[in-house]
Amino acid sequence: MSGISTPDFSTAGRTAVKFLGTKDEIFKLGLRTGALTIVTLGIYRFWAKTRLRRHIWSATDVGKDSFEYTGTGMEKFMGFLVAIVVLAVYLAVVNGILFAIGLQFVAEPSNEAEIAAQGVLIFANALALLPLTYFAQYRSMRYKLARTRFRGIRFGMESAAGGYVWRALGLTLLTALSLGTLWPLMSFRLDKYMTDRAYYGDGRFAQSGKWTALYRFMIPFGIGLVLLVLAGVVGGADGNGFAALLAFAGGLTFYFGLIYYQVRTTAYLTSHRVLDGKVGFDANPSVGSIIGIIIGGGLVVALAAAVYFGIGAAIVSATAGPFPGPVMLVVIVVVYLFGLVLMGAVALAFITQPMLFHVLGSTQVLNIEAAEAIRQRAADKGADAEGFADALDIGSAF
Amino acid sequence: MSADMAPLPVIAGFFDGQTARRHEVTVTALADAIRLTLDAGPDAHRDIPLALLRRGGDQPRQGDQVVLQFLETGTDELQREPARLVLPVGEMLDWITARAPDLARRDVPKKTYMRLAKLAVFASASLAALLLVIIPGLASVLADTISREREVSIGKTAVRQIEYLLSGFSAVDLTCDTPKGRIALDQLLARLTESGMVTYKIEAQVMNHEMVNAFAAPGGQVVILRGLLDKADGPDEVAGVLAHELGHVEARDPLREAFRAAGSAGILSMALGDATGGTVTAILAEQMLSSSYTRKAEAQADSFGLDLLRAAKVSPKGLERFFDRIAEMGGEVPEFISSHPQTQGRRDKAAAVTGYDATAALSDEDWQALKDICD
Repeated sequence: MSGISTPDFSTAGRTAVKFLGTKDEIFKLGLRTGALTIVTLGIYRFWAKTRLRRHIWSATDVGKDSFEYTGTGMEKFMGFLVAIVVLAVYLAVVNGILFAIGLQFVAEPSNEAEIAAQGVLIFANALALLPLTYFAQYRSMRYKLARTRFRGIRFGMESAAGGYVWRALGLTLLTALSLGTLWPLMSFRLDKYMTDRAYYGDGRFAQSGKWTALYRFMIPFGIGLVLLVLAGVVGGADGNGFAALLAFAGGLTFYFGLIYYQVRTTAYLTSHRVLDGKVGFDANPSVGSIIGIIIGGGLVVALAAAVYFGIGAAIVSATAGPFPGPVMLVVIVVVYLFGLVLMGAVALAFITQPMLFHVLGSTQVLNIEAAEAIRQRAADKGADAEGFADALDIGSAF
Repeated sequence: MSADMAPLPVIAGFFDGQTARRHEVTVTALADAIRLTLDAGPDAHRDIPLALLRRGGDQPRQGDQVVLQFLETGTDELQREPARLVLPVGEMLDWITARAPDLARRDVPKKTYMRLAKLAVFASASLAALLLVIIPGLASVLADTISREREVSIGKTAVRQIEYLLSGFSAVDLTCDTPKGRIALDQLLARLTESGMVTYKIEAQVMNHEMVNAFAAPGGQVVILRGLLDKADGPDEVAGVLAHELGHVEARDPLREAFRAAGSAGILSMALGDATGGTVTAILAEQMLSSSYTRKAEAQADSFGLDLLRAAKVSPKGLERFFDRIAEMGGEVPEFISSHPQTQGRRDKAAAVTGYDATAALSDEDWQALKDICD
């Protein structure tokens, strides 16, 4: 394995990354763009996503300078229009083939084998979309980088989605066959594939570090799994209190262990990234703080939802009676949709904003002075402007 | 300072768009432009008209500086020069904000709307062709290759799934089976099928559900819901509805529809997005799609049903009354979202059938037994 070693940054200057966005701003932005999305029957979502990114990018400072997001809602909408046609044809063909195979199993209904066969078919349907999902992942990252600037200089990524797809498929298979024990290899290799093809201006990123270093981050998650298996063994014959307790503890450890793995892995990978052989990064997020944000923010969202939908349901049942007319139905749908938008905005303010504040605030750039020599790169058309990712509904809110 | 007076020059950050090096520039207000003077040499200056200045949207309020861009129509996605001016918050920024006419403007490249319109037409046409022509066409072809035995087993599975749905996912057996009611139902079926027009072996059953409805599953499986028997004003009405469903069975409509639904699964919801607002639109659109496909089939099933009634010497008045009843119940919905053609038109077709000798579809005693099949 070609090991790029991290340069010695022990004496390098450290520049803090800061997130300046406030709860108030992101809440209002989420509410306004969400309402416009409803009114336009969903079409505004491309502009909503663009505006959210523009806000977050421009609120992220490194030293004195902020990032800039230059993507547009228009190009996302157009990319989406192309992507859905391609995907629709693909889905129709796959559906047809799977349905034809499925018919073979329906011939003898009402036995266990048929149920198993149907399970395999459902699985096959999801698998059929897997290559496209990986394709969309890479293209989405490439588009995001192509539309990100810092100090006027463009980021970018090589056009290499094909290589990513077959590597990702192979690594997924490997991870599945190894019952998850090779998951760190997959995490590391896929991230390295993207990082090694990413640029800031004419400066190239490189991923150093070792995939085996990620194993220690799997420990809490592994303990959770062991507890869950133990609970199954202990409570196998007759579910008792001890088994239930084990299962509960195992479930919690498993869930938070998963978050721990993701946070520590991302931090490790970030800290082993090098730009142009000279600029380094140091990420030190606290897993405890992140879990705190997830739990605290989750509680706020749940509370807001309980209050909003509780009051809404009370008003509707008081005024509409058991058989609401068409006007009342429209009102109910609108109130419901607005509730979803409101909860989305609350989540942005109480989960996303604190998360960005914490994660970005615990990151530093090392030896940023060396980046001054970096020169501009040519504009990238951005291909489908992540139309495939939008159509497949993958990736996060921004 | 009054708004008309030019502010004092300020030092700002400047990125030339060529390298990542930050330059210091002095920004001076001119009549309708700003002058950027590089600190390196007083001669190196550049004037930028206020009309070309743009400010990136959604910047945070907390920052003490604002990034300005300059208009340049070209290949850049934003129609901007790659250079950036980072201006501190203060009088100069206020002065520019008050005077630059298009500071907040988003410049869309020429012909973008034309391209968008073309793309939208292309995407809609492709999806429409796929969902309305190609998939239904392939579904028809595929349906014709299925043997009758297989169709029957598919139908039986479908009926079980429907029962599961109707029982509110509780897997309760909803089938109504009093011996007398069963005999009456078989009599009614025998009367409708004895002409030989129906080539499928019909397996009909009544399910204990209040909905006023009946439907056909593939392979001769027919389900009548109790609500239809409760509301019907005599056996001729039920016979009329049953005859219509037998029309679907003969035309293999249920099989074709199942294939079409399976083929288009996920396409609409993908196109409309699962985001807020999209889901409701997707449901409505699926409803419209399914109705536009089946409307023709419904009309054909109607005329088959009327022929069947004539052959069985059952009066079409029952079917006519049934349509009247639907209209009275306020079930009238605009034709484009209804899976059945407008009730009035269908009623008139049933009413237009020329008279023939007809007898009641069932005796009063048998009709009562059928109505009580769920007791």
